[in-house]
Amino acid sequence: MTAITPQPPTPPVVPPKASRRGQSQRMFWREFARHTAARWSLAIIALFVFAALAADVLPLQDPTAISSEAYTGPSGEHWFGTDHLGRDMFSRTVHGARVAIIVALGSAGLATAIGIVVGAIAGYTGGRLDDLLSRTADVFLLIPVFFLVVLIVALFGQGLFFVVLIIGLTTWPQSARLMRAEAMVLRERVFVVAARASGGRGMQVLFRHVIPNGLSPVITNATILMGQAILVEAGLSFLGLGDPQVMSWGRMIFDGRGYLDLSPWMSFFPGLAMFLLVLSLNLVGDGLTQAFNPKLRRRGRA
Amino acid sequence: MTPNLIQTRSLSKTYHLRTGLIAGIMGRRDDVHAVQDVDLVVKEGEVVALVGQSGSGKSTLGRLLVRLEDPSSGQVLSEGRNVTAITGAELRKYRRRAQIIFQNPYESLDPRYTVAMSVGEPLALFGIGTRRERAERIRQALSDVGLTPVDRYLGSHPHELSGGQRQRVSIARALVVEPALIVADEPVSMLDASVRSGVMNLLLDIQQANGISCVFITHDLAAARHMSQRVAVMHAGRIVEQGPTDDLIANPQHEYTQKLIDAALVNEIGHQPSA
Amino acid sequence: MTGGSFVEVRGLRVGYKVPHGVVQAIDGVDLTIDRGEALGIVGESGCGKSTLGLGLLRLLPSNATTSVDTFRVGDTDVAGLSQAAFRREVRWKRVSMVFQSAMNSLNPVRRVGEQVADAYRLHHPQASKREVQARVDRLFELVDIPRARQRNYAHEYSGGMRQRAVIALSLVCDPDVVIADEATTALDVVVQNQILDALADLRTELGIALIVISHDIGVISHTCDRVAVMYAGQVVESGAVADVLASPRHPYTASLMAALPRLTGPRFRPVSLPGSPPDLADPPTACRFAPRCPIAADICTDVPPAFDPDHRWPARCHFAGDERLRQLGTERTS
Repeated sequence: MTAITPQPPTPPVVPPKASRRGQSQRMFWREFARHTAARWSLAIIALFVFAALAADVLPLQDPTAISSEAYTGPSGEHWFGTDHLGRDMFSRTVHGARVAIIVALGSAGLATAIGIVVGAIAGYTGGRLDDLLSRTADVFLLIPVFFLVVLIVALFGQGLFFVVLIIGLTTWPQSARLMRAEAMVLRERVFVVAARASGGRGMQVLFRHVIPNGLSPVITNATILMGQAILVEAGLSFLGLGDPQVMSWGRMIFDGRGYLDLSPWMSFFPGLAMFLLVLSLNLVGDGLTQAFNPKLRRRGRA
Repeated sequence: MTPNLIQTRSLSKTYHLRTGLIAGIMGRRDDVHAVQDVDLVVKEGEVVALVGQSGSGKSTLGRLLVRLEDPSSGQVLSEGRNVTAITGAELRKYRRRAQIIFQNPYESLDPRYTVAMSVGEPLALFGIGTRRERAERIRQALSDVGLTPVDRYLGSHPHELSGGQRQRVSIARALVVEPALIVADEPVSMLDASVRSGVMNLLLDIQQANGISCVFITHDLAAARHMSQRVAVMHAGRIVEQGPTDDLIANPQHEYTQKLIDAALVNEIGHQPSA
Repeated sequence: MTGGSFVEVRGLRVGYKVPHGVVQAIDGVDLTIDRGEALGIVGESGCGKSTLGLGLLRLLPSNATTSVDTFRVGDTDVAGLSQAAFRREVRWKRVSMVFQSAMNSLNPVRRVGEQVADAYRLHHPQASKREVQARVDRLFELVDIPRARQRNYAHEYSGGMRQRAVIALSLVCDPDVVIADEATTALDVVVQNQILDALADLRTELGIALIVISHDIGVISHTCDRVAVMYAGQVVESGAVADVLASPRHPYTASLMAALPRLTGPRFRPVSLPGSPPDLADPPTACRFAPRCPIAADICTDVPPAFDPDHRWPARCHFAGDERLRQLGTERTS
């Protein structure tokens, strides 16, 4: 019998629904927003960023103006009280956010960038290069970073940007490890192999497919790095190794430590601000982890 | 006589698996002979089906052909030229001639890439054409694989497409660089039975229209029969039998071929298995 | 036993709540199966086959609402049971399931034999060590895995053997009904047949009512006694495999068959069904298959076709058994 090919009707076109990319982003934010603490934390961080950006234009008292009203407690005029030189602590705390944000973004940004490149190359290439890069990262992970930073800053200077640079250059291994693990998995994924088959050179494949698809844990980690960087800078300032030119919370706590019985708010409010910001950054990291892996939460609850 | 497009000479691939720390120290290794002594010829414009069960080495052979894997021994000849050990720019030039379509359409496209980006990527990577020429080629390739109206698909992401549509994108991606050979590694086995023939017909039409040679890897002899002029049956890394498709199915010489035929016949509608 | 079949399902409906309404994934499905009989459910992805299996076991996510008028297994109607009672008395004990992804169904860090033992103990907490081991041995024997392999982990198994282990898991409680959801889809033809044959043997040996869900009508043809073809949440044709596949009365069935390449008979070009199943949030009001149907007429978009229960193999089509379908699906082997 001869085969009869029936004339199929024109296929009903099933249009791909409009921009599902938008939809998947919405899903991401919905998942993120389910994490109540992360939602609030994001708002708190936004507040700090706003404070950092707008500190100069807000109707604040001059944070450097010395007055005779030293050691006063919180009042309608000085919300956070004044310090030993009579400077307004509220204004100083708000200005301190600027240093914290610069340190957070600068250090974590640098560490994350280094970590991504090193980790991706190590994981994707494998072999000797991986061994070399991984061992280097291990060395950094073994050294207590804070003491290394203290040492370097004590020896070579304490400018803010130098501090940011040193923190960034010493905290990248965590990101590198995360990126390496992602790259090792992605290397075997078919679409990465397909990119090689389509003429992709190593670095092209790395930057087109491996890194963009392996970013989520690194981004999450970056929020935690930001918190760490703030703490390290504050620690330096507290030890008197911070940049004396800038208004840092750590420095304020340091200044206040001699007057703890007389006016505890001198240390308390900058400390509280730092605590809030670092906690919020960590909680946002937690929320991101959840938004990147919705399954994690469901499994956790089941 | 039609010239050979690609040919292998006693091509072998052995994977060395370390069995564990102790065994590794003792120098004991488990060698897996994924492909062994394979002599295969694909003529210009011909479809050769590579048939075998999972683990028979057919996918590894496919990857060896497009040089995604390096052979342990033996040679791959392309149009008479030895391409076994080429690297760098030469290898890239070869890959432009020899494209591969992968089995799993849910894995073979970058989830972040739009259809236009995925199909355009080989052009960008090989440095083909100007931006405008590339855009035109992408549209042409999409319309060739039946993803029309093209504008509807250009901006879609893989997760918005069905398995069959994704596999069409993969075909367009291979097609867009005008290869001489397409290795199709089980391109329909993950698809619904009802859309398989559409993708197979598309491959056949494109292959015939452009005179492309094709190595069609499958575990399904009925699909092999539909697609190919010749069949090579693989078992445990070796080609145990090869020949013209109809002859091989009508008159199998090797018991393993017979086994595959029996298995396929069981699911053949209307075929009464002899009780 | 009250009249009719061993298993009877009437009026199964499953709806998913989605942002823009309700997707009626299963829209009034009736099924009957006897002991030792195999019923095939066939259709494309998105036709509700898998939802049907999960719905029967009440394993659907929380945004799904399942309702069924009758779900009788033997003498008991389990339709009215509470969720807790259903889980306690029915799921796995009377109705169990073999899933597609064997790797996901097995715990990678526990020996396969132990997993089967765990499953048995879960339902029989009183069982002695010896009883458990005897049961595990028996199950491995049933699915034809050598006893020594009980000590292996899932990754040490081949694909076919993993699927056998999952079948063993489904049998721990001596169920009356086993639902195999695309149980062999990921396997190559040879292994696929071994698994299907194993299932077929088990059903006759243990008197199980087997439901085989597959997108491949070829698989159904060889495993099942009867077949129900599903399209857009409804059964569009059902009957004995011998009848339905010899001369399909619904154009959808005929189209599914015409899409398969054949190993025997004259070479012909298989035809894929164009398009894809309708969006079930807003299905076509009359015949749901009409937009893709090769023989559709005006009536098909105006009047919903009836499902004639008196016919030996009823079909939900105005042109059921039309001559033109012979041309579509008659590429018979000689």
